[in-house]
Amino acid sequence: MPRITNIHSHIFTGRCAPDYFFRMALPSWADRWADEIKAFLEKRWMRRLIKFFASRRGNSQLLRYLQFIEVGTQSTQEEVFTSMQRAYAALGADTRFVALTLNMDHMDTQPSGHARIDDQLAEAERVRSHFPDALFPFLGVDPRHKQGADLLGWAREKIDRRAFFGIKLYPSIGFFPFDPALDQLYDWAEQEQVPVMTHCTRSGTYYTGSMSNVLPNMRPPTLNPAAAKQMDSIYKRIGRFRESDFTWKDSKYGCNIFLHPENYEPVLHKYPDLKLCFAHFGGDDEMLPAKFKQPLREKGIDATNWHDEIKRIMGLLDDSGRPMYENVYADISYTLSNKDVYPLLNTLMRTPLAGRILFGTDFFMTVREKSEAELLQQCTTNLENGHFQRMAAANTTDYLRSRIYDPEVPFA
Amino acid sequence: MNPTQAAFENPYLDTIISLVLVYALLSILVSIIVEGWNRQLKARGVFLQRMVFKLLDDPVNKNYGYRIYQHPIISKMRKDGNGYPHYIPAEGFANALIDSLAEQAYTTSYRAFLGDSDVNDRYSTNSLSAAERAQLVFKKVVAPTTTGSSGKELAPGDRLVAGVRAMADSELKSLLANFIERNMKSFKADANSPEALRLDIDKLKGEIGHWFDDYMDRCSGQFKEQQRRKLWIAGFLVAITLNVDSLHLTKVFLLDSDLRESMVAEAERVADGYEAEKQRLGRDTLSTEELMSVAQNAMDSAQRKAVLEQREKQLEQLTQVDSVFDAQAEQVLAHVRSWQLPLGWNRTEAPWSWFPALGGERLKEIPKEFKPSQRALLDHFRKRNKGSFGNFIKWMAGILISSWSLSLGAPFWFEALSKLINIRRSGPKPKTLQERNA
Ligand SMILES: [Zn+2]
Repeated sequence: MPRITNIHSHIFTGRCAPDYFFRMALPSWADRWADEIKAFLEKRWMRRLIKFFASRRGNSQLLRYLQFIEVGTQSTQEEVFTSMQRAYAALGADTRFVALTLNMDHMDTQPSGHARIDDQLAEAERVRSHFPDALFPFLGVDPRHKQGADLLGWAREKIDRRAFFGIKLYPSIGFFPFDPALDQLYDWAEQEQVPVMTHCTRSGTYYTGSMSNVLPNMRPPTLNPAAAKQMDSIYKRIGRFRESDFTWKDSKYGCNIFLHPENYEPVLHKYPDLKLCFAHFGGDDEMLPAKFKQPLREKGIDATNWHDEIKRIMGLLDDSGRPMYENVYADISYTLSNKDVYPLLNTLMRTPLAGRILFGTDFFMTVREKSEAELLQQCTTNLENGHFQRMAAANTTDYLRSRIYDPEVPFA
Repeated sequence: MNPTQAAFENPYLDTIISLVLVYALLSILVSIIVEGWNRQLKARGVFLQRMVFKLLDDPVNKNYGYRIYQHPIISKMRKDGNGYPHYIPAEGFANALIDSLAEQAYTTSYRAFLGDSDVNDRYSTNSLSAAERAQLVFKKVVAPTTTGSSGKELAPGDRLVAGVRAMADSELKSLLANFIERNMKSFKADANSPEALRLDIDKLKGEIGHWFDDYMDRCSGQFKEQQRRKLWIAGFLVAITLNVDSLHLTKVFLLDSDLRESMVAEAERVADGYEAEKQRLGRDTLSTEELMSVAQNAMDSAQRKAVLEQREKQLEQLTQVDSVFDAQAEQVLAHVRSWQLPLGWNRTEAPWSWFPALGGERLKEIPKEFKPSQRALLDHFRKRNKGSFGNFIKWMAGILISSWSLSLGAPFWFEALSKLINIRRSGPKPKTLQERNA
């Protein structure tokens, strides 16, 4: 039986999240008590209580932090990893997991004593050395950490020796995927067919400082000025975003501008063979029209549906009618926790895009929705005729395959 | 003590002593609350972790503090999953740090193998046949990080040197390089071989351990600073739940000579007990538990049997975090209750008495226990019983003064009490009847 791969999971712990990540969920007077409050939150009954109230008030930032604490505080990355692995016993012991590391060092300008990206990577690497044929970490990349050749050298050193297997982007932390600092990395990734994974929903972790730090003007630099048409559309949206008091004041709306699928078109225009996966397929709320309640759309800042956008990019044809970006994928992680998306997923698996939809769960972000075992159960029973096998085995293997790593070759 | 004699003593000094005794006892309660708080929230462990991270955070390399906390020496010290150790021994610190640094001497990679032969280079250039490809396995290969250092296994000292050499230039790197340089010693493999320098790793461990201990000493001041905030909050909690109005207490002590005398007598016993205990233990500072037993022993055993009063249940609930805590707090409260001080929440006392709608009552008639000589005292109670803005401000000020005073902590107040008793004893002796008549 072909091997199953969960293409999207996380094993980093709460120690990797910056202090201000937590503080931003607190009112400013509580700042000095952050340590105490954090310690309180490490108590399970306390978390239960807060979760109850936070979910009623819709404080999603706090809820997200509570998950970090839930999994993060009591564990090392190895403990997080093995707790996930346990849920897959029924599917066969040879399941592969792609763990996406995340660079959270540039989420704000405030100081923080968290474990930085290199610490997080070193720990992930050590866990991998204990599970060389099961854990396949991706490298969390941020153009503010390293740029150009420096960034490429840093990433290559880790990917060439097969400690890491792909690149993870999380643009809402404060950069655009078309940042020129990423140019050389994309060039190499396209050449070597190294997979790139990017977060793509309208919500998520975001830059918490002032928007003017990360969006100083209407026209952020681009690695592909030749894609004038695509850049023009992006710049127009950035302009609308900056001019609106509504979005400009609250940094959480930054997701809408940094994570937009259109931001990848200048990149793909320059590197059409780049292996790129849009995580979460735009998000379940974009996939289900009934949930169509985006305030930004109402305000006319961005009217597009991201799920449709991703499908459009995946299906783009050139003048001769051939697919333009055959290496663009989408994963169903997190989205799969919503039961209502399965009819749509089953339909999609009967379209030409079926070979580019990947199975992933987004563990441990999903623990607040369902346990990993429940998610797996829901997914395997709701997907029809071998769709699950195709998504989780054949498609993920295609995506993971690079010139550096052949998924058919086992690790001893 | 003879009441006629006491009348000629200094009422102001005795009032201060009485007040200090109240503070000393109640600040034990504050210490208990803060200690319970720290225990619950693992404050010490969190603080220690933060300090170690700060010491070893090297932005251009890694946060070695994070690595140390993952090292089995330290991670095994966790009591439960999410706790941090309260204390890291210097030797454990040095070993964990050296291991974390030495680790960098090697890099793990996974290379393509055909059987036992490394064909990774052929894999990269894609010059393998299909049959060969089907036989491939990726195997773990551990190699020295810095080129130039040949040989597979390095001696522990050399591994550390190589690990530090592999770091990017930083302040921490120069510090570590200095440590290493200072601890090189020359050695000879045998009588004929030339002298070579080698790291004396045991000496280095000692030096790193010292460095860590010095640093932790400097940090302990910071921890105390952090605790001050908590003491203030706990002081306020005690002052408000027990309704400890310092201005009111002062006034009552000034006006009520009987109460004052019994307080001073008790204060003397407590101060003597405190000095004796210090002597016995040969220490200048006593722990909260020790201070509590001092107070306990000084107490009159008849008074100790005082009936528990309902109104102080509030504080008990506040302190029911764990059982030790609860029992300790109960003992202190029993002691305070036995004095029959104007503390606590009571219908006929301010600020409750200001709110008749909530069941507050003014003094309607002169209670029998007030003698004519205590008119002034009664008058004070009566005035304070009336709800007015002025009274509210006075009450609030009294509570805040108490909170602040209690936050100074039990050790401070016991020491102050002992000094005051000394002053009282060394002052002019109360005149005898003949002397006064002379
Ligand atoms: Zn994710």
